[in-house]
Amino acid sequence: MRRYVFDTNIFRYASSDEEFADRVLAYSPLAYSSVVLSELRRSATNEAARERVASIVKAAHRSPNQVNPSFADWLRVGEYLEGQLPVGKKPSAEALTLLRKTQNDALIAFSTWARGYIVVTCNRADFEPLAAFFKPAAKSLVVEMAPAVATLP
Amino acid sequence: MKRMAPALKEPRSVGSAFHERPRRGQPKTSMADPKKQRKPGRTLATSTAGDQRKADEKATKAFTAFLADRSAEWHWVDE
Repeated sequence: MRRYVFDTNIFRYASSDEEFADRVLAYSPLAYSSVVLSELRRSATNEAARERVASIVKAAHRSPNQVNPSFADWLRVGEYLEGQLPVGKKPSAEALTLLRKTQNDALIAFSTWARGYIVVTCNRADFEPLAAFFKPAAKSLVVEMAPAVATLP
Repeated sequence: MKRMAPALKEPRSVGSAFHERPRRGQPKTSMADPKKQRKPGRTLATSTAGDQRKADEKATKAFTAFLADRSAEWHWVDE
């Protein structure tokens, strides 16, 4: 069965915009990425938010509903990031920052696609190159439009 | 002094239980007894599918609960 895996920005916009929340509630069945749960945990600033993350962690306890990067997924991420750097040149500070930012997205994407699941994100700019690299993933990426007031980092 | 040959030991007796063990492929005594055989019920496959459905429902419910709690506060970085 193909499950949908939400990127962190889906949680972000769904928690602040009701129309967006209604739209993403249509995705079912869901699976949760441990990378996304980790990003949610670091973003939770009060007890209520931490409890919300904890209840999702509990719900994702069964293996088909959780997605964790494997040995092969990490290696594939390394291969992708390697291709983003110039050969024979010291990478700039900006390039290194971009690599760090891209690493989590690549982990979410590759671990989800390796299981035949579908990524739902608002971040077209970062996920489309990942889908192009992971060729069979072209149909496993759903890009939701972010709410109008929101600006992507 | 002439050394005596050690006395011959009697061969170790083989417990009768050994001989009574069922042969490979033959059901154990308890399973052979029709009164003790497992009654037909849910197979492993159906129970797994049922468990999975429940896990899927739980996963969806957790997301709905995530959205419903307006007291949660977040500081979003880089997502």
